[in-house]
Amino acid sequence: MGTASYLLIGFWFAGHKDAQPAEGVSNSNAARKAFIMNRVGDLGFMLGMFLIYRAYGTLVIPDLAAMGDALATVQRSIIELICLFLLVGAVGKSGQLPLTTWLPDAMAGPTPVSALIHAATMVTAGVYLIARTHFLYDLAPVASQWVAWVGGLTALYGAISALNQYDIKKILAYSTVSQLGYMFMAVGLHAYTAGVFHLLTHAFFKALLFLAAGAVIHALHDEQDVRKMGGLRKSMPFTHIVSGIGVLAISGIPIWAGFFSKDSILTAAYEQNGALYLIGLAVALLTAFYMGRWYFLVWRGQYRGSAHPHEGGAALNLPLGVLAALATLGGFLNIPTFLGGNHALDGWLGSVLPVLAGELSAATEWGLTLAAVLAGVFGLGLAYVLYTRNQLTDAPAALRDLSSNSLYLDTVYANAVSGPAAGIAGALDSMDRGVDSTIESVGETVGSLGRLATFWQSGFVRSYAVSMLLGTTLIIGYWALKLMGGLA
Amino acid sequence: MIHFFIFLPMLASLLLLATPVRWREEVAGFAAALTLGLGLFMWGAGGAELVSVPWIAALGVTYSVALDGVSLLLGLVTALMTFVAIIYTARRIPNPGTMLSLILAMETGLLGIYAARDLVLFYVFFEDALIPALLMLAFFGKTHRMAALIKFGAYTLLGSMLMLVSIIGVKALGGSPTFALSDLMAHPVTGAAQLWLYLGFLAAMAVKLPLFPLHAWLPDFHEQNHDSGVADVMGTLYKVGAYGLFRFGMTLFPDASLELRPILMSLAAFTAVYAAWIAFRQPDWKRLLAYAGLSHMGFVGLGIFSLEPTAMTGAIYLLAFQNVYTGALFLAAGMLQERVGSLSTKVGGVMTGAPILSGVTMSLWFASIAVPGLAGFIGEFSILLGAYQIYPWLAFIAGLSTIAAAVYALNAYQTTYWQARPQGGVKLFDLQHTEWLVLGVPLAVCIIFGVYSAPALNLIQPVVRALLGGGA
Repeated sequence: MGTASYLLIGFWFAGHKDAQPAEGVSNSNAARKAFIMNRVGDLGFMLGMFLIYRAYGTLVIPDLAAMGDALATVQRSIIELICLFLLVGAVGKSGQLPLTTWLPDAMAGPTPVSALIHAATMVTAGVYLIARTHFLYDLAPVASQWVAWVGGLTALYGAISALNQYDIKKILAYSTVSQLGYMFMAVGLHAYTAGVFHLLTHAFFKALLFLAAGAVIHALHDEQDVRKMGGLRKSMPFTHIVSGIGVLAISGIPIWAGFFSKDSILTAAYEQNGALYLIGLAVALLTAFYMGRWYFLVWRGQYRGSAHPHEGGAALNLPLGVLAALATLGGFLNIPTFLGGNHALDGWLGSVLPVLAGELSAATEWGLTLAAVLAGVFGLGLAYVLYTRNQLTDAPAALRDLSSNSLYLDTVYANAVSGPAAGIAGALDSMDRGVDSTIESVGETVGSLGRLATFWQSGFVRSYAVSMLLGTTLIIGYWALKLMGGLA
Repeated sequence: MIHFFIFLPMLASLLLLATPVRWREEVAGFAAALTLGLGLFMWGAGGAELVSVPWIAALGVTYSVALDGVSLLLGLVTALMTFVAIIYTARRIPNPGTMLSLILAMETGLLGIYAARDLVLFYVFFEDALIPALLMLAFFGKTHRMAALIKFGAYTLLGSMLMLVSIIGVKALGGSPTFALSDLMAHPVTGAAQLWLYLGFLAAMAVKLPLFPLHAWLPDFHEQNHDSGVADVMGTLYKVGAYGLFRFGMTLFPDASLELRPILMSLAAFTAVYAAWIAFRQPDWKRLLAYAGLSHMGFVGLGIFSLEPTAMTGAIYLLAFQNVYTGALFLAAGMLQERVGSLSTKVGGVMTGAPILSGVTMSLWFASIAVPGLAGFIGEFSILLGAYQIYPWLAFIAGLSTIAAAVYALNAYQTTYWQARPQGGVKLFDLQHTEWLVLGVPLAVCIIFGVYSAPALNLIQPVVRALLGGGA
């Protein structure tokens, strides 16, 4: 998958038809970054596998799962370590903190690619990995806590970064980061079915939003800046409606898919970890707000650009319609008990994943649901209020800088990792040439000793005669001294 | 059969001198193809049993050759890449008689190294392969070739001398009647003497592996060789150090190799990371490939020194197939140079002018940086998996180089093939005629053995098992 996304993101490399050189460079940089960050994750994943092999002697997942209680015979610390290594792999693939920065940059790819990679398939591989190896995480409470916290913090990071982006796709990308954080939080809290459920619903509505954004970009002739959009609901009514459905779904407004899945995650968080629950709730609010901002800036008000927007053809609309239907109805797969449902999806997944038994009273569940919905409504409402006051585009300066630089994580990496790494490479290169020249100078020393000897072999007969004379004198002198007893 | 396999290239090499100029390419190509065919035939027949006859009876030197799985695999790869190199030579180099003759002579040396089961015979083939390599550099090299040549020669010969001392010592101290491997193994040297003899043997093999800090000849050797990359293919094939250690080092000096294991594995892991990191800064494709190859050799060393079956199997696997993709990448660099007139990693925009060349090059690079599904991955993964069971930290350090590999490869690839092409550059052309074959065959091999590794593993595993069962 890493390779495929490398190629897809780099699809518009420089020199390709009409791409601008600078844009091409940034596209290929994004591709490279994705690959390298994934490599870091892969290393963690590999180390995890090595440790599994060392501990259990097999890498076949069903075999491992079948070991059951025998898994626990291995030292606790080793299992924790395995899970942490696997977490690194999952983090790399799913764009979680601290390996998150490649995901927003991956927006350079063509829009269907974004939809594919960032909503449905690749990035969720990390969540899937953890859900798949749940039997190990069940034995590793500390590592699970790590997973949950990584998820929670990433959710917050993504949400804050999304607040003040201007690129229509970047908002969605950071939103993906944030939603993936939710899923990690869920699996970290051992609520595997909730995580997978959110994975499913998120795939529907995020793919919908990305494709809608693609339709907009197409209609506006490759314009991606939301500041140059607005009022598109008139010229693109169909896309407008399906986008609205997507926004409602991601904001967790009842009956749309996001409501059910987000609710189940928040319930799990409430049961186990108050701090994570608060983060989750805050993120829900932020999510609703920035998606509201996205919606109002793109679809409402007056058009601020100069292109002639038009509705995409049937080929664009058909998948949007299907996804909109799924985003609306997908949540009904798993209606919780207190709403009169029977957890249909949980039942289906239950054969593979352990289902977290809910112990909360119906009243608490109602309260939690209400809080989540209120957060969503409040977020959307805030966006609307700011929109009417025309203050929606930019946040206050401090927050704006923080958000549009995505908490300066890229800068930190450039200064703390890339720069030094390149510097070390240069230093090592000189050192390598140094190793070389050290050995070379050893050679030269030997050579100069040889040259000393060549003075003797000058080829002049008279100098050889002098040498012989000197030698003879020395020998005779030696014998003379010896005979005289001087050397006794 | 086995003797034909070894000596056919040498015969063809001599025959070339008497062949009319216009038939030389055909004769060389035919000989290389026939050698490869013989190799494949012997693969089908399950290798070749040991043949041993006295050669210089007074000194106890025998002519003992055999082809077991490991020898056969490495021999096949050698024959394949020689064939590919000859095809490309015929296309690229005008009046290539000398070059073809040297390539074939070198092939005999390399096949002999893999087949030899007598230490002196091994030494003879070892030196025999050196001479064509030196001559290729001397005849076809670039401006500073003499400096590179002296360095290459000095390192190799110094190592060889120490190895010769060790070889004589092994027989003298162990009291074996001959230099044949089976006799030497029956009369092992023990104690401190074994350690010293191992160090002498190691000196030659570490130069040829190469292992830090004896690697300095390698970048210069590749940088100064002919632009076409043909000589570099042969140079890559000549990295037989790991094989020598596998065949003779581990069998004759089992205690010493166990004793030195931590040091040698650390050195190998360090070599892997160190070379990969340096590769990041190289402005010349051939230097970059040289360091990339060095990094792979660090991996191979890590596997061989670990004495762990999985890692050793992986090491032989990587050793065999890195010849294929590193060699093909050298030829691809040669093709790049033919088109743009430079080996710089900052050319830019080659993808637009020569998309197929660029795509194939990228695929080969993916094989090189061990992307799953291509041959490089299986070797690297097995080595790391095995090494992890012995020293987790060293596996981790060596594992870091997989990240560094992605950095250096993608960086250079991006600036050469993707980013915008300077205005007014020459018009590029894509793969032509036999170039398809030259890059296509190695790539196909990398893909096939990346997906379906069983045939190669079946060759390697019994040998490794026998070696570890009998030796360590």
